[in-house]
Amino acid sequence: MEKVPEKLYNRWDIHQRCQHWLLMVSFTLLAITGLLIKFAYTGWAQFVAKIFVNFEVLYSVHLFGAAVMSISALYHLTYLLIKALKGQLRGSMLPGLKDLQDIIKNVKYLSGKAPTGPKFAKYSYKEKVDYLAEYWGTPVMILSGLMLLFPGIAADVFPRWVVACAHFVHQGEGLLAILVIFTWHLYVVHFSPDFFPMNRVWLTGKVSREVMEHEYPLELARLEKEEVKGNAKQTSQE
Amino acid sequence: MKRRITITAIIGFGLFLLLQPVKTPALEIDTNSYKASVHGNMDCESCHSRETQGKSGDKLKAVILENCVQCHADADREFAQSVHDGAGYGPDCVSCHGDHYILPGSDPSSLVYQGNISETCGKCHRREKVSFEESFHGKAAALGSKNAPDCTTCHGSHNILSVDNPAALVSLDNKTLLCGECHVGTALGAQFTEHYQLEAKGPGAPMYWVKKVFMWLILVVVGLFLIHIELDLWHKFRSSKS
Ligand code: HEC
Ligand code: HEC
Ligand code: HEC
Ligand code: HEC
Ligand code: HEC
Ligand code: HEC
Repeated sequence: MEKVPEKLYNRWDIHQRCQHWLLMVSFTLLAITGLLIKFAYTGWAQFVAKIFVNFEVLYSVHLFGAAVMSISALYHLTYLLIKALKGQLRGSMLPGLKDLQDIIKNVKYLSGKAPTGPKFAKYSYKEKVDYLAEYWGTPVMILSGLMLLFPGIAADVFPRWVVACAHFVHQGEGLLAILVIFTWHLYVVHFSPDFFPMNRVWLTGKVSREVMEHEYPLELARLEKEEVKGNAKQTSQE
Repeated sequence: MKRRITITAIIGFGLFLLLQPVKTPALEIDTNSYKASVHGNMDCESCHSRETQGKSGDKLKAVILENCVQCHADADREFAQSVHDGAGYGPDCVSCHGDHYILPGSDPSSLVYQGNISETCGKCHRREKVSFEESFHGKAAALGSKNAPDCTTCHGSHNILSVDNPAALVSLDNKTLLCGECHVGTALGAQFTEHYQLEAKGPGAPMYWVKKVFMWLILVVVGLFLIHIELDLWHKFRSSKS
């Protein structure tokens, strides 16, 4: 019997995947070089830092990563703006009351107090938390980073102690972001038993029907309604 | 039989180690390191001159320091004007350079090497060392940056003056000039405590609280995440069993 190819649903278009690549590469570079600078007085950091030949190279890699991350942020904002102008922006990533209810439902379900869990639309609250952490963290890192790169200019504009605080904001938020990626993001897309070994959306942009049924039933229902309405051309809406 | 030989060998080796003559490093000097030092081709008497005979401790050191400056008159002239000279309990040549194994400042093992200088000055200036090592300047210096300042870039080395001395590199009038070597703008240096401490009160208070807030934010956020992850895994584990 011939195997019927599984029906695939578009989830991320090429721009979203590009943004993910830019973010992933820049984040990795920034995290490695940033941690080395933060822990500069420990033996292991001084040892690992030798990979970069000297501090000037290490620092340039950090600034390069920062530039790429800023570009990816601008890219994302432009992308959202264009989607909005085209009327394809539903705000599927925005948090709402439903997410709060979903969290409560899911905690009940996972701890065995309810027979079924919540039903998710395009993005589950887990994915929203992941995204919003990034959305909040990126501008904080870019702004504090710019102040530290140009402390002279920053001190002429802001009170001097604000510049000194930026030093600690940059370290604190950076560490927070790294820990969030290492716990939450890796869990949501890799080690979550539903997706193990990996949610492949970031590579293919597509999701199988099975995963849609299991993970995003509300989104599936919406897409099917569109199809019935004769809206055959599936545009990915955000 | 074989076992007895092994045991005897182990005990014998242990005794051999125990009976090694106890070394007294204080009174011996490592010839190899001495030969590799800047003074390696000088004989001992250049510093341990005849006058040192019969002397020990501080008296010995005082005579030797006299000999240092015989050869290093320039360094001595600068040092004599500094806040450190004559402080009594302040540093002498040996506290900053060491005694027998002095290396050029560019050598990563030298006590005055950029990456080690905060340790050397920090023996006496604990609070400034802590704040310097927390700053970006300090972290860059520790990783070998050529562009970041260390203690001596901002204070000088032999000619260190009191902060209150108008001629000091870090005096209120000169601070803008000092920071201006590497930074634009005028407000960066002026009216700010360079070596602020991360304490709940005083000039470091805003930074202290920012650091505290982020620490708690990290603990709470990551803690909640871990609880959620545990819940999920635990649930999957139970449902896979039943
Ligand atoms: C650059 C100057 C210099 C040279 C050259 C030098 N020393 Fe010394 N040495 C010192 C100083 C300074 C001290 C005292 C250190 C202190 O008290 O902190 C000292 C102390 C000592 C002591 C300990 C003495 C005591 O009573 O505590 C010994 C032993 C010694 N030196 C051996 C040698 C030998 C052997 C050589 C030649 C290979 C040598 N030194 C060359 C500067 C020198
Ligand atoms: C407060 C610490 C300190 C003290 C005290 C000190 N030095 Fe130095 N010395 C330094 C530093 C820092 C350098 C710079 C190293 C560099 O830039 O490579 C230096 C450099 C030198 C140099 C080589 C460069 C030059 O300026 O000629 C000599 C020689 C020297 N010191 C001798 C002495 C002598 C002699 C004394 C005692 C009178 C002394 N030092 C006291 C910190 C100190
Ligand atoms: C007999 C003369 C003599 C005496 C005594 C002497 N030095 Fe020197 N010192 C030299 C010479 C010569 C050099 C230069 C070596 C070179 O440049 O290769 C030197 C180099 C140095 C340097 C390294 C400078 C650099 O390149 O960074 C320091 C620091 C220093 N001496 C400190 C001391 C101290 C401290 C003492 C006393 C404990 C002392 N010297 C005693 C002759 C002497
Ligand atoms: C052996 C201990 C010792 C070492 C090492 C030392 N210092 Fe000092 N320093 C002192 C003492 C003591 C004073 C106070 C002198 C006084 O007030 O009369 C002082 C004063 C100062 C001052 C002036 C403080 C003021 O209130 O104006 C500065 C700046 C300074 N040191 C910088 C340095 C630097 C930079 C180094 C390293 C290159 C260094 N010190 C190494 C003991 C040390
Ligand atoms: C020898 C050069 C040099 C001097 C002198 C210097 N700085 Fe810096 N500073 C740097 C470098 C390099 C950076 C890194 C940022 C950059 O690339 O410009 C930096 C960064 C900074 C930052 C932001 C980094 C952070 O995380 O806090 C502040 C604030 C700062 N300097 C303050 C000062 C003050 C205040 C002075 C004068 C007391 C001063 N600097 C003197 C080289 C210098
Ligand atoms: C970026 C330049 C810079 C560097 C690097 C630096 N200092 Fe300072 N330091 C200053 C300035 C400026 C002051 C003047 C006091 C002020 O503005 O609050 C000062 C003051 C001091 C004082 C006087 C007491 C005080 O805290 O006000 C000491 C002691 C001192 N520094 C030691 C050190 C030591 C030790 C190091 C290295 C670990 C170091 N400094 C590195 C700029 C610097």
